[in-house]
Amino acid sequence: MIPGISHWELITVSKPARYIGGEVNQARAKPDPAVRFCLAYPDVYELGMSNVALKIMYELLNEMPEIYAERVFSPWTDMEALLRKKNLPLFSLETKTPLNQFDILGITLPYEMTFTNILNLLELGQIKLRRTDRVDGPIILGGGPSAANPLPMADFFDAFLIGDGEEAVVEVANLVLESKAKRLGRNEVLERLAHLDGFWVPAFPGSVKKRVFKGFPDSTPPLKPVVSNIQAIHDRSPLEIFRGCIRGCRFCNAGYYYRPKRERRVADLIAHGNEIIRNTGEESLGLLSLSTSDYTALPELICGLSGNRLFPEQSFAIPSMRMNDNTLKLLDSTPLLRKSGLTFAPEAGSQRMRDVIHKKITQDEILSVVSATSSSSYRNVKLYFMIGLPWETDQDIAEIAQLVKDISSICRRDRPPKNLSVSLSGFIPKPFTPFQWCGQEASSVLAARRRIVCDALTKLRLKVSWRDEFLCTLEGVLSRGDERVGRLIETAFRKGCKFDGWHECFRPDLWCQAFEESGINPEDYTSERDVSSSLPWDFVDIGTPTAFFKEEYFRAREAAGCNSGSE
Amino acid sequence: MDEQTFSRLKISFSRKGPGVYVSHLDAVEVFFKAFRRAGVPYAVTAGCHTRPRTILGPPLPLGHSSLCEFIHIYLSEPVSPALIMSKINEMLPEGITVFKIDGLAADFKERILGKKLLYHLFLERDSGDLAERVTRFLGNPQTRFKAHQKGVMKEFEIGNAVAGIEMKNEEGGSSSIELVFNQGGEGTPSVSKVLSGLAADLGTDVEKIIEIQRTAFLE
Repeated sequence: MIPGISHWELITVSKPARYIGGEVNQARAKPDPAVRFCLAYPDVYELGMSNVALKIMYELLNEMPEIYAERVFSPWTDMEALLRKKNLPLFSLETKTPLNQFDILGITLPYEMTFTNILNLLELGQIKLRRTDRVDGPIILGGGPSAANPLPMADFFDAFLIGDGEEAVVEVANLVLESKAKRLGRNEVLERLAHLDGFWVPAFPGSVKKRVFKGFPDSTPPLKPVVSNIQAIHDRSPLEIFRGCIRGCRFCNAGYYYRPKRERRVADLIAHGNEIIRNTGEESLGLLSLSTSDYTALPELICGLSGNRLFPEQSFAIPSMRMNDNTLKLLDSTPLLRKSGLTFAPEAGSQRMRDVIHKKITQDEILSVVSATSSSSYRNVKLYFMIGLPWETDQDIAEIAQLVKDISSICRRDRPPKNLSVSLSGFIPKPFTPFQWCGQEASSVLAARRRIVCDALTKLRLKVSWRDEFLCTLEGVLSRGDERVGRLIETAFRKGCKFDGWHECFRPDLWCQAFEESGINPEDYTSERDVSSSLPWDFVDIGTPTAFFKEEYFRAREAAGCNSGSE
Repeated sequence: MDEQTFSRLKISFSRKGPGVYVSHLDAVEVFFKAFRRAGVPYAVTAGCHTRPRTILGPPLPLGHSSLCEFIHIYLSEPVSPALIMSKINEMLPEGITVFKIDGLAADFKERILGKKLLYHLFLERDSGDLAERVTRFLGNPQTRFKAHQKGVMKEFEIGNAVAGIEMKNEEGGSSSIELVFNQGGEGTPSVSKVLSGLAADLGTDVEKIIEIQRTAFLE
């Protein structure tokens, strides 16, 4: 099954099916493909198999006759220990090929807390960590939302794609195909790659403009995605209904990264949705976007999907819905919709703070929608808030607790009462947002404010969860880092940090040691920056001018009641 | 092709190779998805979360191959078993293969199986005295071993778990050990625990057991 690993060894690891492959819709092996491409997701199989980008790239590349694309995911700690004990390289799922034997290893960077996992993938794949040490082996290509600021990981990747991958991944595959035919050296390949739109190559640095796939509305989503043999984290087949977001929430990096908004047509989506369900047999179709309620023809889409049921318990899921009276009525009237719970993301307790972050919803609207759920079949309500927003005051914190109390009163009046839970997260200023110059509160301050909210809610006996505040600080350093931060990441990795996004694996003690040993001061990255100063990622043109971000920053500051006017 | 139609089917399947690493519950989901892809008109359960209406066979421990797995599926309209048989295997991942589909009456009463199991342990060629060691371990009701139960390591005794044991020669010079297990009795350790205990006792020599196969339900 896996060269070098016996059956008896394999059944000692948790979920051995993670490493086997052979799933329905797996791409058939091609005899002697000209280019071998491995797509990597730096977390476990069940998370990676829910990733839409991986499905898109896999299907696109495998449609090319001379390219064979395979998959790899981060092995869990027990499998990693087995690989290291036996000195076996990490391998692809389809053909069990060691990662260092591919022509291209494309690793998605979904989120900063996977950075140490990425280094682990490289090391387990027996690939040199630092790009400057590589003389052979695959081209290490990065992409995804956390590649928008590529500097923290610039030591480890040969190239980054900034933006949409549909056309770019085909171009890079063809470039490598051509380069192999011409027997070009590694440096020559990288130099050519630097000239492709959207690619940033650290060895040949320059400015880069984000790649936008304008053909998205007419494009076909992956229609035969690989069907996981074990339960994936999102147990549904994804259908991306539109890309981009028009809301302009000032804290949201994804909203700016995925612009402009491009929608697929209703008739196409209904046809695609049916075909995906026929090809996968998944129970549920997930309608994906950053803000699904902003799809222009949402009622028609839901009506069309509801009327085309292929099997009895077929359903669809709509995450990322902006809740208001209209959407609630629409969702409640749809029998096929999975009604596990309602999520509201007010993000802030006070109207002042919601105005600062440009979250256009009022208290009355929030309470009205919650009241309207009384007669619905939704049983669970979850609220998301951020703590440590720019210009936040004690009063703003107190209003988080008050808003929760008001919502709780409504939920408790329902029969049966709704289950209310609250999730708190420290605010992290992100690049390519109006808040990219803002300071990030120290983890001690975030913790103190979180305790204020929790204490105020004690009597309500709600489930309140929160992100580790040091994790928020770390994410802040990694997302707004420069090229020096690579040293920190490598040091932390060498100390044993991995799966940092997993509560049971996160080692703040080792990260603290890594900060000290690498000489990186977190405050250099979390502190406020002068709006007139340049930022390390300014060489990336994300498609939204810096002048716009500055204007939005000043509007936010004005909404906070601070000095008005631009500087 | 047999055109007779039925409202209930018994789907008999094997698990080998990569199929042995899919857990029992995940394998059930694999079948549900295969039914949908194959367009099987299954009936669904009542209640909040509707599922295909099925009767499952006894769970297969992770890592064991099998020639005797089954799932009953109730249908919303009668279907010919041959029609499903012509499509279903293409809808399944590697290592899970349907070899027979029987039509049943809707009110057919399947016996409760799993009390007596026929197993084969296939040994590699030139496995030395492994067969004797396995026979000594499993054939002695007083053999004690340790295994996990609900996350806690406990001691067990073979007791009456093994009802029969016989060495057999296979093709190509290899051999197997045929075992009959009793299951479900008070204090009787499960097949999974007994074989875990055996594996611990054999140490690295367990690698010479190349396959653990649940061959048939005897009762």
